[in-house]
Amino acid sequence: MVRVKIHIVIRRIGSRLLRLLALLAVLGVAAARVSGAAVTALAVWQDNITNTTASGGRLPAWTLSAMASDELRRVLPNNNTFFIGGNFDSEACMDYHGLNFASAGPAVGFQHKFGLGAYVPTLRFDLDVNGIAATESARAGWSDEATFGLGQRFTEALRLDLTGEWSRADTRDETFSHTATVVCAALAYDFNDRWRLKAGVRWRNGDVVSYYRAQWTAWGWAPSGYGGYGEEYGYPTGRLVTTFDQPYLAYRLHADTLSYAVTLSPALGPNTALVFTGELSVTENESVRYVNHLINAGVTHRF
Amino acid sequence: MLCFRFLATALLLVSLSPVGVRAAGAVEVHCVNTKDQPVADAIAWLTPLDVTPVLVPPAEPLVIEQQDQEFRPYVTPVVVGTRISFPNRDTVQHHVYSVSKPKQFEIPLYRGESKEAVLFDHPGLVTIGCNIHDWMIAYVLVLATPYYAKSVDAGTALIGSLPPGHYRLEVWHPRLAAEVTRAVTVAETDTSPQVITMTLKPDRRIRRAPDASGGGYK
Repeated sequence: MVRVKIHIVIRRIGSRLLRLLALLAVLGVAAARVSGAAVTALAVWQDNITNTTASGGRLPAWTLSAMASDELRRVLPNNNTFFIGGNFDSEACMDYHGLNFASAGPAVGFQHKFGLGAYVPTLRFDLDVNGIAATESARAGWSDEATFGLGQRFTEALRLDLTGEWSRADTRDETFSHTATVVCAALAYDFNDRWRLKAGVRWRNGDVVSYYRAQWTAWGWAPSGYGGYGEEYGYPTGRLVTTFDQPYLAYRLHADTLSYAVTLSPALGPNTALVFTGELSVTENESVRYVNHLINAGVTHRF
Repeated sequence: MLCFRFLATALLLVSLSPVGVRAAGAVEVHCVNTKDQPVADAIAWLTPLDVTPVLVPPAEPLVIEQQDQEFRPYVTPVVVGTRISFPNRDTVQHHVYSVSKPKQFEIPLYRGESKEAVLFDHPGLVTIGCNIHDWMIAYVLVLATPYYAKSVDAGTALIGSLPPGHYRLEVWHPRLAAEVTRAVTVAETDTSPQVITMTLKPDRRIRRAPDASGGGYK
């Protein structure tokens, strides 16, 4: 067993969490049990975990990711359904343990189906609140997420999902906080009841954390190759981190990220599937542009 | 005298009733696909052309249960007027429904025995699903004839107790690409074999295995 020491920081007593928990307590009594429990484990390799340009010190890394979720369902009139549940997400970076984190929290959702059956459009709204625990305490805090999804199955084989998401993370150090809006479209095609191919495109507008190799100057730590720090030198003031075993400066930037992903998923059984994904992400704003290539392989199981 | 009359009447009634007909032919239907492989879950039925059949639905409801998040059996032939109950043997709840024209119904979220059996009172094909688990599907073929059978794994369906006469043989399967109909004459006590070659569409049910997300760029 590997023991990981984590720091949990409660930045605010989370009145929003208390309200959500109170709502869950009431509705949980009334909710009917329908299995929604699922777990996913992934191994992810990316060539730019530092989210930077080539001169900024791109570093590749392996990450192990584990996710779990469960939900209770309460059917309401007119094909509406209410969900309550919880999510758990964790990442362990094999190369840079400072990036390790775990988050967990309750979730509520509402779904409307425009009729009965598999071929009617489905509209769903979800709200999540998560507490974040991290190896580096500066990265710990809270996150909120509101998601809107529209799903449409066209045939037994073809399904389209459109997702919109607004998220906010409030961490101990504001460098790692973010607000972001995401829009995603994914098309899944099943060759048969075993093999699925899924292609998706995602646009994200919001805060990203970018890192740059740091050097010591007379004015303090500065991005390597720059005379100093600050806007006048073309790079904002950053936070010094030792996450990558060498000095880097962490910056919070506002940028657009366009990602393209392709997933191949063979089913191992009725409740289990393997997933293999290749993803290309391009992040840019008026000052920076960097690319990240990711591949992941894993397994997902529904109980 | 009274006893004799009673006995004669009883014998006459027995000879006229369908059960009392001495001749009991049968038709054995062999269902194969275009590769000559046996086809299970095909329904074969005979509609008599000489007389209007008497339909006697079963007194007790038939059962289509939900087990391991699937409907069992997958295909069920019934005569008009049959009731079917949908007990849920799973630990999770299901929402059984049908929007098929011969029978539209909905049994919202429940576990265990369904509240009451559903009456199938019009002939035709009824497709049944679960509004939560999209991959769950079952078929009920409601027939206006009492002479039917479902093919087993070996592809055979035996329709017995047939009065001699002329019939129309029809076969249906969930993946059947083209209608199958033929005229059949049933003789007394004969078992008439009928080989039906069916062209089947590919099996394209909704994939049940889950999807995964996450692990991408954050």
